[in-house]
Amino acid sequence: MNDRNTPPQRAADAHHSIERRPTEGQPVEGRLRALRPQPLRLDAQALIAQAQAQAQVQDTMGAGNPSPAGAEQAVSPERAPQPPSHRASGGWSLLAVGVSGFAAGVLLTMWVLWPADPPQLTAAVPSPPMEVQESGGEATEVQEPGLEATEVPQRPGVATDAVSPRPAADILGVWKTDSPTVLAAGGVREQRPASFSNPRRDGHRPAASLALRGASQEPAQSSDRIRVGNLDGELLNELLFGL
Amino acid sequence: MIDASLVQRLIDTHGAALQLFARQWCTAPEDAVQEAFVELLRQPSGPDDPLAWLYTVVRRRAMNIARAEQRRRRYQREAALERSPWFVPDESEPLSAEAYQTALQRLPSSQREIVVLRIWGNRTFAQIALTVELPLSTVHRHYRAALRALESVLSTPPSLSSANRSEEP
Repeated sequence: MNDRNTPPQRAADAHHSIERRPTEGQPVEGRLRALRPQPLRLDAQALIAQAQAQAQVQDTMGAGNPSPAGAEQAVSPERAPQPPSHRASGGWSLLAVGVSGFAAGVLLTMWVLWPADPPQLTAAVPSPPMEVQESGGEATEVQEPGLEATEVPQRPGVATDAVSPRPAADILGVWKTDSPTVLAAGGVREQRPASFSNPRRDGHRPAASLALRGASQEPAQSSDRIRVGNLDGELLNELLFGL
Repeated sequence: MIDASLVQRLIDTHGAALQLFARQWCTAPEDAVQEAFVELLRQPSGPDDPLAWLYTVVRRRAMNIARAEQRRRRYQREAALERSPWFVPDESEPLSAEAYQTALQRLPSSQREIVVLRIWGNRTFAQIALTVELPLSTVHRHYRAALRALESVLSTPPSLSSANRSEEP
């Protein structure tokens, strides 16, 4: 086997070839070599005394004899082993990661162990019939089978809002006196102004359309007199249109 | 343990080169060399190659001193560099030692330290590569480039060289 083809031998050949390259022949190199640098004025005895003094100072401070690793660290502090970066930046980031991971674990456990179908509370409390249909100009209520009209529980804030139109109308200023009748949840008919109609309770129909339909279907019953504040509708028409 | 005779021999033989090597970074090269020798004496067991160890430690010490010197103003450092001669004046040389020092100072520090280690430290390229922590081929390339630059600068007449120097900011 030829040893000159092995990688170490090739590296050694390259090293020797670099060392033998003809830089020696350059005249400037010879001129530079002729220069003598300024001598160093140091005394070996003084250096030894200084080294001993430093060692004594370290002994009195309790450091003891420096280990080779410690000596290397003193010589080259940039090569000293550095603590991990997460210690240098404080433990807050690590603490935040731990707490958020714990919280995520708790939430995941709750999501897995929690019953998928919680008990249906709506079976015990029947929902009140809210659907309103109109047939022949009168609003009728579609009741659920098996439930009497008087047994329908009243939802707070919805069924018992027997709003008197007068005070609110004084505030708002405009309302229709003869608005279509709607059924309250308790089965009691009451007059409710269209401006106070609930779109969701009225079958998602706008209050204005409900009022206009009721006005067109009941021409004889409703006077359609519009009041603006304390003004009568006819007086208003006279003022506005000169009728 | 390093004895006093070995230290004195190292100072006499390589002290000047070590001081010139430290001078490439700091204005107090004596301090860097002295600290390196003290550290060498405090080593419980001497290094295998005390001279290579000294060059490495002198380089790091000089860099540390240079970092401390950066707090000073720039013109103070340049003035100190101008005042301290690097070489012993030689009357037989056509060019003055100051001209060589000026030519060396114009080199990049990466090239200049290699030239100092090679010419006045008598280090091989492999040893220089270990000291400056560069690949061997890079060290050789820097050295050749430095010699070409020095040749071009030192071949020009001193008057022209000084004129070019005065034009620099």
